[in-house]
Amino acid sequence: MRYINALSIMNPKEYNECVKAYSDAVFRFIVSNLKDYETARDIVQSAFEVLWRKIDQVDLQKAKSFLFTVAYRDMIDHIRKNKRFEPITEVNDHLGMVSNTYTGASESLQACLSTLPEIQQHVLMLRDYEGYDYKEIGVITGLNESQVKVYIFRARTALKSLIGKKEVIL
Amino acid sequence: MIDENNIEWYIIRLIEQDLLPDEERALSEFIKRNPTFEEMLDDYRHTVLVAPEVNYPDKTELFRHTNDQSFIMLHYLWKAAAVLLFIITVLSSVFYFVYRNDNHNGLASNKVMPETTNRISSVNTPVQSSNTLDSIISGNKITSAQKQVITAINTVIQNDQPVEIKPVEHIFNEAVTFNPDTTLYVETIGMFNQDNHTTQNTILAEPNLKAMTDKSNMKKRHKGIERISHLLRRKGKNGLANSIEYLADIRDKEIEISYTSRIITFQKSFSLNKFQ
Repeated sequence: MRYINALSIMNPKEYNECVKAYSDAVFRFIVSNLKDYETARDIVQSAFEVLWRKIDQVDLQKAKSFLFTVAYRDMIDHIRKNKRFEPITEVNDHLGMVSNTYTGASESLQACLSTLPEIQQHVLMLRDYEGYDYKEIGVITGLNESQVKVYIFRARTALKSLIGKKEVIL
Repeated sequence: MIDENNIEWYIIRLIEQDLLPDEERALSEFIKRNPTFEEMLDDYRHTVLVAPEVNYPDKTELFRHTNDQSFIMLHYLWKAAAVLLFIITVLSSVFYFVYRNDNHNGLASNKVMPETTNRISSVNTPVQSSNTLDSIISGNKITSAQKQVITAINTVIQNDQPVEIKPVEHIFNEAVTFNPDTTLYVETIGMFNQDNHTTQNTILAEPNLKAMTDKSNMKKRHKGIERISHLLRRKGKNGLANSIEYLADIRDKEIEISYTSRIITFQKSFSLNKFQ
């Protein structure tokens, strides 16, 4: 059965199912990281464009990981390009910034999250939003399992201390 | 062993659902014994992100409206065409090399010696009358024995018009170019004509002759010879049957020597009356 699945190609109907099932998740992940609504739209569109072009090479079971990997790499490229031109003042604004385009369950947590190093944000979002295991996160981000675990540990520790500080301030 | 120094690690692993049942039990007991860590556990529980409700706004633009069946068919057609092309290429290459090797060996070749080819091409013109045949014979380098065969067969055609027999120049041409065992074919026709052309009408059927002269399949060839000899003996033509068998035996041996030598032998030793 595994081999049959491996040999089966994705057809347009299955591709459309992927759009229904994963477009929101990919968009949420990108927009949460970038805080840039328009760029996130473009990245999601590009990811599905790539999936469509490689429809006969991607197994349906791995379509979600494929989309996240493509979108993640695109996002990293975008971040690297923009870092060269980003004004220094905007970096500090991230702490208090919560996008108006979506409503998080905990706005303060979102605010704290944005203060973490990018890689920690990425792995934590993939873990908590999408429920990926360490191995899958490693595939998407290009890290090994141990690195993913360490980043998640650090992210949770940092978030815990940040939440404590915020509550004191509020 | 859980203690104050490593409890954070255990709590995070609990949040991550990465603890073994025993470890989970140990942590629970530790926190019960040390309630001050309940707050820490609670803080860490708050570090779990809750996915916000976000909808991708351009979802409809991502959908594709291709006909499923035609898409799949096209996909498989491309693959099938590629496989077919590959098979044709491989077969062509194999055929080319096998054919080339056969030509180098000479034994299995249908090609004739250059000298013979020249002679055949000149004889290949359709013959309408004995005058035309004579003019062809006289204008070419044909041995007296070959001349004798052509004349004999032509006489049968003119007198009896046998259905199975093609015009003489075609038979001769085919005998030299198409059938590998040239000598036996022509000699047999010649013997039939010397004997009696009615024998030829009844026995000289193409399948038997072709089987008899098929040197690439010796079993088939011997069966052909056997059948012709049998038919001849039934008609009381024992001498002719013996001659054909004897001749076939000689040709078998000659085949083993070489194709070229058979052509030379054919040119030198051809004699219709030799075996009568």
